[in-house]
Amino acid sequence: MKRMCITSTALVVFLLMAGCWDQDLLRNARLIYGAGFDLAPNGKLLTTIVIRDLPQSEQQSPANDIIYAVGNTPRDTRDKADNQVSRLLRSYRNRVILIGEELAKQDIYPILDVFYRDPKSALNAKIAVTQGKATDILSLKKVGNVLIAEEIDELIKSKEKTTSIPKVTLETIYPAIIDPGEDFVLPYLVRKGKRVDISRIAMFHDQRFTGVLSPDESTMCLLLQARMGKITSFTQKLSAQKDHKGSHDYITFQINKSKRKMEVLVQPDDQISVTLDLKWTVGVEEYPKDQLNDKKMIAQLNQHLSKAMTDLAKKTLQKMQEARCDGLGIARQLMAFHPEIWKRQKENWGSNYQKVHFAPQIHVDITKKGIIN
Amino acid sequence: MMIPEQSRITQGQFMFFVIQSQVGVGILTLPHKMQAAAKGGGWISTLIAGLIVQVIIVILWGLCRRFPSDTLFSFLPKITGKLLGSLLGLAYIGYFLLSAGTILSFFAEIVGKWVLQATPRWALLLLTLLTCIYLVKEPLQVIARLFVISSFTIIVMVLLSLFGYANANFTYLFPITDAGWGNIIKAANEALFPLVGYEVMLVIYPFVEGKSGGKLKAASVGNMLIVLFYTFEVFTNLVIFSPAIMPAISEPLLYMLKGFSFQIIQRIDLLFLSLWIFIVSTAIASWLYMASVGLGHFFHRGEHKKAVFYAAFIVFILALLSEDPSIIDLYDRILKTSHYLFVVVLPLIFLLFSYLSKKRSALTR
Repeated sequence: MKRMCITSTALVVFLLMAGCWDQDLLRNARLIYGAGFDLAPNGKLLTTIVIRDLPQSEQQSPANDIIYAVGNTPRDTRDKADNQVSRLLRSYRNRVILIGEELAKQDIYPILDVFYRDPKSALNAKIAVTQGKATDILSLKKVGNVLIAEEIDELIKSKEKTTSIPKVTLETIYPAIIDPGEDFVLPYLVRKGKRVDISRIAMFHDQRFTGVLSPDESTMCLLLQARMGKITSFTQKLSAQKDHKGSHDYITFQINKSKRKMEVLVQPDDQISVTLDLKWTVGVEEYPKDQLNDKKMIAQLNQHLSKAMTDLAKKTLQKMQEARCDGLGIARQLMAFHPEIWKRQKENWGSNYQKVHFAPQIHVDITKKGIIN
Repeated sequence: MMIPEQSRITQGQFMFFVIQSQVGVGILTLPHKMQAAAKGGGWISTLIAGLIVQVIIVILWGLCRRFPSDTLFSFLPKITGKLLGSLLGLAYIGYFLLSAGTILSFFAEIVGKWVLQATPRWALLLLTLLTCIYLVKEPLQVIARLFVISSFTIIVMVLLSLFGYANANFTYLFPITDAGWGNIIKAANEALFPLVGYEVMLVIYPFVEGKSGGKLKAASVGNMLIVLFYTFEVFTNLVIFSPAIMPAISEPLLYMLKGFSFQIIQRIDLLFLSLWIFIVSTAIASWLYMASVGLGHFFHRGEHKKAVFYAAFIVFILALLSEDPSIIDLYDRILKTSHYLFVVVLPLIFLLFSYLSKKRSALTR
């Protein structure tokens, strides 16, 4: 009995003590909700940190506080930012990481290393590139009534659903960031007055930002990668003439299903060609021009849209090749299925990738037309 | 030797005993090691290692069934003579204790790295050992029952790993034989160590009910389940992390889970770790049990309970000493050699020896 008592007391004491060493109380923490990194003069780094201030009373709404710090590395700047706030900065609720355009053109891995190394960091934070400086967007503090970090986080989430931008978090780009087998793409944020616009994709090659796609191309890029979101729609001009008037000349359609078939072929002379076959079944969303009860007309539309979309795909792939962004993971396919070819090509993959011949082919098939004809 | 009711376990419990002894710290680092050695073929290596282990299990079983009512410590003197037998028995105890110490030390390292960074190492060691002592001092039946219950956590671990397939890319595996068959087989050798623990047969074999065939079946099924589990985890990690990134992460399984979040739970890796702590404690408990049965046999007339405390103390000291990575490397090296010696070579010699000298126990069929 006596021994039981001693054992149980010891157990209780130890259990409680273990908590003491590692406790990290929320009331002692200042939570980082977003962080932006920019290039500062003299090769330094400007970090903008958004922290959430909880109000003292119930009536006040929570507010964002923005801290700026200049230093050599992200960790260095964070420590400097910590000097400017009471209590301790904590990053485990971080929602977004923004990287300024100029900084992204350099290697981005050194900026992200601290997030990957720290066991407490939030790896599910969103990451994006901004037009101009990241600090300009975070300094908005609020968009409408929504705090900036939440607004960006929510906006990114909703745009992921509409196939405008890729679904990426810090964690999901980690494999691609070091791997030579594929390049990643990130959302590209643009400041529009007092709002933030997200509809474009920033392309990367080898951890460096190399170019931007237009909104339509961004969606096409994701479809070519077979990363379709819930809602995907295009608005396409119908006739080639430029003088046509008004919205009569357009069709908007939504893709219900997209099936991709990608094949990487290597010719004897080491020329790599990639065939991309996409089959879409689409529904018409807006077509003020005419009625859709004629089968012949639908066939005509199918043909027209197929051609227009194939052209768009070609343009997108061309832009990606110019940016050297191997977003489709062609190198990965080579490594896996043509290892000898890869051994010969990997030295100069960036420029060899630009020589890859892409043959996209998109088939559009209208199956739904809404509740009127 | 009469076996008291409380020490008898069923064959099902025996199977779970083998499972729980096998699953230990190795599971977290195995994918990393396999990828380093065999690239995309790492999962094949794991399967091969499982087959090798199966062969070893048959050897151990062949030895044990010749002495159906003796533990390792009581049949050793029968084969080699009293003095040598006792010395070998003590050597086995040393091996068991060192295994427990090494696992404990790896465990403290991972918990210290991932969760409790500020907690001193000795506290982690002590807390784990205290729970193990509490379990090990009970009769075998109680231990076995807990092992059965805790095996369900493995299912949860499998379910959690399934989330990884959301970001899976199967081309990472190809070309499967990139490293060459030579390296794949070499890697299988590496995969043997995370699978250790089936040695528990040598100690608990006489306490299992039923015929020898059923016991072999139970141990084999246990081993097979674990090999499949390990292969699954290695495979999962190979398709999630690209070959270029694998060298950078030593616990890929946790790293993968860290990035996921649910509505209410943000850090699934912590959830996984808490389950894993359970599994590791049972592995440590199993080693501790083997050692204390030996010590009990030699010094306390078969009462293992009395040996548990100082056995645990030795394990604690061993683990405490190994804070320096070079010492844990040393432990690892010693263990690898002694594993071959104690689990493969010696049992084979004993088996041959006992055949030659026909020292069969009275109860053989």
